[in-house]
Amino acid sequence: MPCCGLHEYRRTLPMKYMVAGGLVFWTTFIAVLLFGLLTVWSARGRLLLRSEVAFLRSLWRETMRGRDSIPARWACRFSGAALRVSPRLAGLIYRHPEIPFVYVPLFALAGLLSGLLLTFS
Amino acid sequence: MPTFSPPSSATTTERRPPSRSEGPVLVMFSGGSDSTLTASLLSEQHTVVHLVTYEHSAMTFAAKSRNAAEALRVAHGAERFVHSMIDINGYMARIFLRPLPQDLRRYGTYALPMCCGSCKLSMHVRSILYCREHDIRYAADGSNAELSELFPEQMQPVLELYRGLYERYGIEYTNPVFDVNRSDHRLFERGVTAKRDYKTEHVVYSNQHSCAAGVMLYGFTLGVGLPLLGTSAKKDVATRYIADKIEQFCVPFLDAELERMSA
Repeated sequence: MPCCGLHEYRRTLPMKYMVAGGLVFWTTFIAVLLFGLLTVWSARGRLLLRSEVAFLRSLWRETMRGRDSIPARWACRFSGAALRVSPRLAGLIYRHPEIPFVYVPLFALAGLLSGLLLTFS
Repeated sequence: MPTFSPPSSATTTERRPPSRSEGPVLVMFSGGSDSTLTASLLSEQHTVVHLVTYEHSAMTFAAKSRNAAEALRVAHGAERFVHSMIDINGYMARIFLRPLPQDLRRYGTYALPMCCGSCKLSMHVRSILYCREHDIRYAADGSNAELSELFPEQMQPVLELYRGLYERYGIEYTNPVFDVNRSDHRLFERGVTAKRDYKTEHVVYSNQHSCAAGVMLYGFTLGVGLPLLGTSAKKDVATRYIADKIEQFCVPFLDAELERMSA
């Protein structure tokens, strides 16, 4: 693929490319979301919103329930590490990659913010 | 006039079109180096080459293809080429946009980058109609192996589905430059272009349109496909998507249109 250079990075794609691609994609996603909300009374606005909801649902299913997704692969590694602590926890992490990738970071962030607010208030 | 010369290196192999000089051929023509080389090669085999440039709302600068058409006329003779530009917004709406929520549920997130597959399928449907309107039995495009890993419309199994669709309507569809490594170099060698390395351009090109949907395909691949899904493309989903669209939309639509034309 000389036009994009991706063929040179099939194994190790530089992080800056992923960040740039992510910025392009998710910025457009948010722009389309806002456009959809602003034109929600029209058929096109509702179509865009329905498409975005369907996309997010599919993305959740593919990343958190698919066997080959990156979160699923990492959850597999984490569950292996958690096996020594608790086989039940390991099974839970293996079946639900959203626990280490979504819930734990969110709870940690909430805890951190709460701690900071309590300290400085 | 430049002659049809053998490949210049082992990695650059043109699929030599069958020897014939029987009537006109349609070339789906973006003006990029692959479709320009396709048109250049086929101009030696066919009486007239119909260069058809398609455009839709996400494309900009589609008129740049006129530069490449002019270069072909200068190199091979003005009487060999007919250039037209056709809008495919209506086809895109029916194949891609309107069924998008259902398609995202059915095919998963890869239904979104299939915008490019739907765009090309729209072009093929319109090309079949164009061929029948102008009594053309041959059609070709600049599909190339270099992009077949990423762009769904250029994957080999998808190209076979297109071929089957054309066959159904009595048209032979070919990809003469599929294995050509650097079509811009070949064009330069054939005396069509004055610049040797214009395939290295990004996003904004000298001779062809830019497409926001194409940029989004890269965005999806780099920002979602690789970091979250662990894959750059899903060939099986692309093939299933195109096969379904052909059966559900293209064939019934073309049958109805052709029946209307013959009535």
